[in-house]
Amino acid sequence: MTTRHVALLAAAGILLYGGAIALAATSNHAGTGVVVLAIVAGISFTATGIVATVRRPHNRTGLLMLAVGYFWALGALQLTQSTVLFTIGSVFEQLAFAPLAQLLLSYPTGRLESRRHRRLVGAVWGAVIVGPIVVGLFQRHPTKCSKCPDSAILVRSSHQLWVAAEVAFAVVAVVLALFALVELARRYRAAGPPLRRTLGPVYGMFCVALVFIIGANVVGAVSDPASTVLGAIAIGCITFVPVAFLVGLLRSRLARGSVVRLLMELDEGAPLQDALATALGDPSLEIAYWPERRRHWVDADGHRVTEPTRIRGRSVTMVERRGEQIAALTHDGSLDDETDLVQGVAAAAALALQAERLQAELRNQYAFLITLVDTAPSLFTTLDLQGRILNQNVAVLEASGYEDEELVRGRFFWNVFGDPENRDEMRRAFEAAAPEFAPSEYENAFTNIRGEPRVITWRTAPVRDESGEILSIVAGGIDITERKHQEVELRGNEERLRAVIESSPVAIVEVDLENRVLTWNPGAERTFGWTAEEVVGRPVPVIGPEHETESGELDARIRAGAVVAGLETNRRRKDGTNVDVEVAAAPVRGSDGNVVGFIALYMDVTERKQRTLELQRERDATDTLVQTIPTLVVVVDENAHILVNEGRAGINRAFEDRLGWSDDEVGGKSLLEFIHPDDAYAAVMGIGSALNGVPAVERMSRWRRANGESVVVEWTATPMPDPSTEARRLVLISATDVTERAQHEDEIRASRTRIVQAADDARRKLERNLHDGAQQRLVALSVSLRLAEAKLGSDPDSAAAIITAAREELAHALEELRELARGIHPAVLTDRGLAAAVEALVARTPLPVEAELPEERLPAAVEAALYYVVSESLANVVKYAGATSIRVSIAVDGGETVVAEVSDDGVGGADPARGSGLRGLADRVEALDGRLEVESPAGGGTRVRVDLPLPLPSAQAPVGEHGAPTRAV
Amino acid sequence: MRKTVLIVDDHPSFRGSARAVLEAEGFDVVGETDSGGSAIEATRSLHPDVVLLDIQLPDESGLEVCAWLMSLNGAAPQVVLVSSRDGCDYGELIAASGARGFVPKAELSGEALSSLLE
Repeated sequence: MTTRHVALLAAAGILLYGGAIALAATSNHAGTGVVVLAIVAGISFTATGIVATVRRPHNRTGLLMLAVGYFWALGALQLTQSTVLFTIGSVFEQLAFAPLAQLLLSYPTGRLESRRHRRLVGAVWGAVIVGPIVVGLFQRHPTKCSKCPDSAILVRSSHQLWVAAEVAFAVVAVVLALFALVELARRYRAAGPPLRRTLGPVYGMFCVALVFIIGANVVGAVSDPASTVLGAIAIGCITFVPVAFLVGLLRSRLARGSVVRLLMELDEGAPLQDALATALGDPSLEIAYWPERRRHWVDADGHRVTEPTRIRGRSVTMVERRGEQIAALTHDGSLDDETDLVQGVAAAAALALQAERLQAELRNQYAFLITLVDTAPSLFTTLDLQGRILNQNVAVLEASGYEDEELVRGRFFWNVFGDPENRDEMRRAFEAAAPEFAPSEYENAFTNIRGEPRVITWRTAPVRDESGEILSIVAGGIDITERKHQEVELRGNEERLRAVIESSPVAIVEVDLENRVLTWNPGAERTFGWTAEEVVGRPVPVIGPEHETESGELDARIRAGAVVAGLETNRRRKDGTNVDVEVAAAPVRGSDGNVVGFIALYMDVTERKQRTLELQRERDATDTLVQTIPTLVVVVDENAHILVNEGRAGINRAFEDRLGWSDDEVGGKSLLEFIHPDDAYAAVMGIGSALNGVPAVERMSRWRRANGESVVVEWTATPMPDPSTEARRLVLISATDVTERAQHEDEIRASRTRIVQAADDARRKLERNLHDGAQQRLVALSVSLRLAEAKLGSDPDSAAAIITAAREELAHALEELRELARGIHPAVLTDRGLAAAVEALVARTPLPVEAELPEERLPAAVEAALYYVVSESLANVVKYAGATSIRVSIAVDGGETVVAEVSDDGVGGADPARGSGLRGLADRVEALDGRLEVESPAGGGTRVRVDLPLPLPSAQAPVGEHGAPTRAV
Repeated sequence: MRKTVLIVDDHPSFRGSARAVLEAEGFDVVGETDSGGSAIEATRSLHPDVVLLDIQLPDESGLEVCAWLMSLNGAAPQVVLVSSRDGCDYGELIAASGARGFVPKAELSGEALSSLLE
């Protein structure tokens, strides 16, 4: 609102009231007192209206006051004589009440707060416009004013109508006035103390005025002068309304001091809301905060609140600091007028709030830091200048071993973190660091109160204040106990590794990326000849020109990250020769995973190679042996399947030859297929017991030949390790073909039986011969002699005849006995030998015999055998051959065998199998390991031939012994 | 009256000497056979009073022949067993055979025979 506006308003006012005064002076129907008062009231309104408009430009109060003032001034037009002007004036006179009513109801903010107020005010405006017009329509001039000009809008002068209109108007006015009063009273009641302070005088004054107005109207019906007086008093009251307003204005200026008081109170730490309320004089004041990081309003306790808005007579003032809203003050609406006060208070509040906010932030930061420090795994402790612990975090407490921090705080650092033996040292070190306490590092090993050994590295630094004074010493520590353990372990591991490398017989060579030797162990020295000093730092020496290609390939593979093992090759020695080695190599990676070098292990396999060769030779020798021995050899696995090794079946040459199976017919098949079913069980048992480690006893089985025949074998099963690399359990079965032997044994058994039988037969025959022959004769002889004895006396001649006959009988008997004896064993053979005995035989043979006989004596058994052969043969020839001559020859052949032959020229056809005599001879001959042959073609004579081996001189039976022959017969 | 005797023995020399002794000592030798079978036939046909029976016969045992002879009802002859073997060799058999007795061949005489007969 510029000065120009002010000047304009003032000019208008002066103009209007100048005019009014002029009119009042010249009017013929004006009551002086009333007019004067009216003008004074009007001027008062106008002046304060101007002031209010200036001071509170946005407050309508000023405008309303001006309206009242101007309208009232225009009301002075009633003082004219002009009908039109008069009418206009009467309208304006009444019209002034409308802004007045509005002013009162909207005081002090200038706004009508509720609909009821607005309606009321609207009604008033309506009434004051319509009323006088209606009255003017029907009333010529006011009753009391006869000199007044007529109404310009007079339609009809009707007493009844204008009375009615007036009454109506009066009623309406009264009603509205009453309503207004009620509303004012209500407003006052609902108002807070500051508002009441403002409203009080104004309303009070106005109420009084109203009373008088009502009184004036009421009394006016009865008494005019009384009504005038009352009206005058009412106007006087109204005049004071602006004065009251001025009072309100003045008060706000005084209130500025309260801001200073507020600041002081805040400085002393008074709660903000209370202090602000006191400063503004509004106990209903509320602060809502807009915290920085939130998006909503909170109250002093931090609880969320709704956004402060202006409702029901309360206003909101924003508190801002540097353009940023930080709070809102909700206060009584009446304080809106006192902008300066409120702004000043808000500014103070802003300062205070900022301080509060900073404090809150500081607290938060502090809380954060404390938590950080407390929960950090590192140790934090603060010491005072004497070395006592001021405070510590949780980690420190834990390291110290104490559970109660009271036991740590206040104690000397070295008493908590030092062992008795080094406490003094620690204390001295601390004291030596004073007074500068320069930042330092220190490693501290101690055993805490719980007995746990700890190692902590401390870093200390002094804490200074703004002036540079040292306040305390901060020590930060890291518990490196674990790390120390690990270091020790690592060293231990390294030591072990070193020991392994040093002691290993294998050559271990480590090289860097350029193939220069880094490590060369004693094993390498032994294998290659160079010592470590000779090779470390230089390129690897073991690769000769012939190794370059292969070594280059190996190198490439290792560099690509591969690990190589088991590579058989050779490398160069210091003396220039090559050594056979098995190589394993791998890249060595650094801690970042990249390859930093290579490590190679060389194992000297010279011996191993030799042994392999030897083993191979042995194996070949064994193989040859197995193949050539006559024993049948077959190797089976645990399931009795014949082994197949490198395509060949596990059988030897003898097996193939004897049984007739080929390699592929046999390989992999079950051995039981080649064994007679009856013997299969025994085979399984034998193999099983061999697998259990018990070498089986010899068993006999029948094995099948390819052509279906059986052979009898005597076999054993032995467990054997697998010659190939697989760890199977195998069984070696070796079998001897005993088919012939079995047959021989059968024959021998049979022959023995026959021999025994023959002996028994001979005995029986002897007994019979004795019984039948000699014994009978002797018996008969005995009878005859007795007869002769009986007849001796009576008939001597017959007795003599009987005796003679008896003598003959006796001779026969003796002869028979002699024959018999000869049959058993001829004495001549024992006494004079084979030749003589055969000659005696020949002498008794009825046919001519040609004999060729040895001169020397032979072993008794041999001579006996030959004698019986010849004897039996001669008897057979005589009995069956029908021959004319016989030839007998016995001769020693080469000193080792004696050959005897008896041949005749008879009919032949002798069957050696049929005659038991020849059978018995064969047995006798075979019992001496000899052989009997009979050749007897039909019609071609018969030849019996005997070959007998002569025993060696040491085993020779004594010759010519009396008694039984030495060989059993 | 002289008793009739049948001599059963497979040795002719003994048969000869036995005949000579028995005829000289009061017996009538009516026949000589050399086997069990022929002995039975001869007994049937000749009806001898006495049969001098050798135990060792070629075809049958003399004891069995004796048993058969004993079974001849009515006409059973008196049997005397002889042998070149000892009587002890036969044990109870002789007693159980039904024969009158046993005489070793070497001691054969008329008297020895008569002593056994009834």
